[in-house]
Amino acid sequence: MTALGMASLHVVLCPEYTLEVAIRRTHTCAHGLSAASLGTVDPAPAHPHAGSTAEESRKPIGGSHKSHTRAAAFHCQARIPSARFHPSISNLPSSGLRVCVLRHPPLVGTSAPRPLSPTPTLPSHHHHTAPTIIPHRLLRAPPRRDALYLLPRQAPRRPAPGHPLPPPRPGCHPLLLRAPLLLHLARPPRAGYIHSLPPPMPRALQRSGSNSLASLLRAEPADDFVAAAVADPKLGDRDNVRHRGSRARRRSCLRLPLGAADGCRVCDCDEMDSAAPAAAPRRRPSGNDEEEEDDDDGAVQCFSWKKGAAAAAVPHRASGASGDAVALKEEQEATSLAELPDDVTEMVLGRLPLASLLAARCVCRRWRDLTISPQFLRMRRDEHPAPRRAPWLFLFGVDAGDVGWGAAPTPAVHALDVDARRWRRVGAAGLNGRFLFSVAGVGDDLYVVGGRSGGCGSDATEVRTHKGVLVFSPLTGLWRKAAPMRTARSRPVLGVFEMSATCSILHARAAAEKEKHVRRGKSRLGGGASAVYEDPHRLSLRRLRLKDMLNDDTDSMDLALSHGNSDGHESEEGQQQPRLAIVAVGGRGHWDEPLVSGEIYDPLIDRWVEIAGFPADVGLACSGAVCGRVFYVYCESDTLVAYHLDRGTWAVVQTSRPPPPRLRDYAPTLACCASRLFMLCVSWCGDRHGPAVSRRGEKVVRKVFELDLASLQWAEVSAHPDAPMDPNAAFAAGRDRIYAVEMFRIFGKVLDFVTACRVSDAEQRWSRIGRENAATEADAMSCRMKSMAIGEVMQPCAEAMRLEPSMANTALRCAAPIGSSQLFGA
Amino acid sequence: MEVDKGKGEAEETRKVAEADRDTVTLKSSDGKLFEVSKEAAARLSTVLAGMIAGGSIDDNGTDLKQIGSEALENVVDYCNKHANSIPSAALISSSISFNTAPFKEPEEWERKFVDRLSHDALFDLVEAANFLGMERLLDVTCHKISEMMKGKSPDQIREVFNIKNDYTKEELEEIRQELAWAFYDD
Repeated sequence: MTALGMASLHVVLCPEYTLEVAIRRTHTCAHGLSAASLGTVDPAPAHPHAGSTAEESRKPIGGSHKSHTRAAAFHCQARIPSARFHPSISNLPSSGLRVCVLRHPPLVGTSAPRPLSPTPTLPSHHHHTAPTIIPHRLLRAPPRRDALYLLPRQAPRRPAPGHPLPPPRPGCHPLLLRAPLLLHLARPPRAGYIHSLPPPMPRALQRSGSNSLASLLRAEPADDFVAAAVADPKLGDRDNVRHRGSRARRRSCLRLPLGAADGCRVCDCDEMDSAAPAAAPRRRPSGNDEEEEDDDDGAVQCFSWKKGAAAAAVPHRASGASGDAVALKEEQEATSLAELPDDVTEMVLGRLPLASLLAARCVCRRWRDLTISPQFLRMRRDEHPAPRRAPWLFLFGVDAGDVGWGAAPTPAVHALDVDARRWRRVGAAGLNGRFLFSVAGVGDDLYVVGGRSGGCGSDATEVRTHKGVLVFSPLTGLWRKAAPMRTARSRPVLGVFEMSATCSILHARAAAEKEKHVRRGKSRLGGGASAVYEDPHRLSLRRLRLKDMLNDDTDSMDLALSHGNSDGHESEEGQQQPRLAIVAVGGRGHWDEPLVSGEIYDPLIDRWVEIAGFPADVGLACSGAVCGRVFYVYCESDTLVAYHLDRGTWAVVQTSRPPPPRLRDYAPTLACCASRLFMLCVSWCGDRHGPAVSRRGEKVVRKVFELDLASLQWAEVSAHPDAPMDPNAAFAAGRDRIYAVEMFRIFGKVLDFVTACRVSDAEQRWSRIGRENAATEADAMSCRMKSMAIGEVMQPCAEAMRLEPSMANTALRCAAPIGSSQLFGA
Repeated sequence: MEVDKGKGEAEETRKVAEADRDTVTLKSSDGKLFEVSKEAAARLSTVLAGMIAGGSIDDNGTDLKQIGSEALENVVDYCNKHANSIPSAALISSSISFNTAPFKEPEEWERKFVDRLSHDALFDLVEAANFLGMERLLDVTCHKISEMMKGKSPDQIREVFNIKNDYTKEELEEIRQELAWAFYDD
């Protein structure tokens, strides 16, 4: 088995443990499993069956041997028969390799294949030796794209806070009970190989519990390892192993100081023990046979995937492998991008803009598999945020259907690639006939919250208001369901915010828990924050408990709770990946009654938590936006209320001047852009602040007001050049732009206007986007679109959204995701 | 820069290397020798940095069997010309979060450097950079490839990058239906 780079890792587990080994990012090795070299249980004499067992259990789960990778994540499952587990991690294409022992369930992502193969049972020849894993801080970081995750299967639950750890079982290392463990494998280059170890770390490091593999490896001859060395004499003198020839080949060159590796060129990484081929039948890719021959030459060729150079470097290839060799040569003729290792391919694909990425997905299976994996998407988001790229606007609408007014509305989703200025139609099958929902962009996904269905047409099915939340992922084109809200809402007011450790969801959650414990009835009368949590002295304590609660409740999910982590590296990482949450308030309930309650959704734990209801006397919530740590809601009564996300309290914002007058027919919209709060509404020309009496005949114009957050004054910022034709224009705030979509029908033809206002400019002016083709595309999108775009009823505060046929066709909504520019830029 | 592997010259190289330890000699898969300044190598390539630190640099030419001479020449070229303008790879990778460090746009000379390469040379260079752990070069080359891919239809991508379509017709139809909205050529 050739290896790009490898490391050995010694995990000592108690026999009951099953390790699931998930290897992220296999390399190009076309034969399914480069992870085949995972989970190699040390075939020491003490464990005669270990080798074969490991082999059996090393099936790629969910990955087929023919195709490259199903998903980019592989799971290997290996029952660890012995106290010592030496998975040789080889073929790791990338680097930055980390090994983590996590709790079950795996966190490799929802689409990660589940283990299928039965766990073989093993004779237990255990040697309970001292652990060589160095136990570590809890793993809180989100899963890494190039990490190796070891997931103990039946890891005990973390003890409840306050309870002592359960006594260690005999043979178990007590620290393991506190899974997860985290191992860093040195700090190799991102896409290089593990050969480049950092200079030797001071001995003190290992003593202090450093978790880098480098120090781990160096620690081997140290006292820690004596027990293991006794159990397996091979381990003790590992440093000399290389000198003794191929018998010890399966030891990684990692453990060798590079200088001492006389036979070890950069690539000397053959980890398979050629002395035990029977015990561990090779699952090598057929094309790699020639490498086997090389073993004896001392110059080991690791890079089976490397077509040209590798082939050239093996001139004396065994004739037995000629078939493969020919194949290899043929491939070599034409340089193809397909031959790049997976991680490099990911790097390339990760830079593509959305449209190109989706096109690339159609190129070949391997690319598709690579690009739909959650790890890839995460990497794409984190590494290549490409701030300058324009976002996509997703317009959720409802087609009236061409069968007439009576037909049930058909939801439709249209995406505007702002950059390419083109409209594209997105499959909206997942919406299931819902309308009057609200949409928010969170991370990579679009959340469709609440809404109604039915109630339209001759069959007059019952109108239902939904609690349900649907999620559309433009990157994968998939719809899925998220946890439903606690209350059914149509047209709730949404905000997306970044969670912090002190965020109110935690408080709210604590409140919920507490409520449950105390068995108090729900009492959410408007206005009050949960009084229980006003005492600042109890805050820190509570917070601790909250963290524990989260840990307990969310299993591996809390890995992403990086914000709570004060540990150096992890928190650094955590800052790169803001944890977003949705706040939803108001809307209308089952009987069309206005709601004052609110809730917060955390996508990571997939749960809604109720928050304090908002003040009932300010009227229906019209629109909301998160600005800083505050969620502002503009109400029908022209009052601005604010929910402090950290404190979890509502307050009415007392602006120093009365809010700008506006036309009631046009819904006001709040938008937060570049940390500034704007309100868009339709107002009369001129800067009058008189009472909003009817001024028939006077010209109206769409205006943008900004609220100065310091002085709390509204000030007019800009005016839209176009006449406000669409009373329900949709707005969305990107990073520094506010986008507006207006659609109306004139002379039987639908016109749409997409405009954007860049707020950071000194002179804030609206400019037209997609003037070139948006309208024609809209026509081309569907003829139904035409009938749909008129008469939108998307007033969040519309009086009684009765589903009169003429209005049922409307609910048009623009969801330019907040933070969309991070998202859809590339 | 390129030295033939003649005996005398190898001797000479060794002498030079002994006398002046500022350079590292690298040997490509086909046996050609290249010299690159130690400082640049250590700065740009984490692998070479590790080897230098570990003392596993061979004065006769460190074997890099995976890298063809053409690619290695490009690598060395890149190192020699541009070492000074690039932050140290070792520095970058010493931070654990290097993986998530946002990519900086290639600079003008980097753009030119990759633009002049043929497809084959570019792919080889990517692999070499990958192998040597040259973060920046890898970034730049990957960027270049993705630039080449932008705005192309699947068919065009397959053609340009010589990738075999392994979808069945039905699958392709299905996936096209799914993603049709995103294509440029629909």
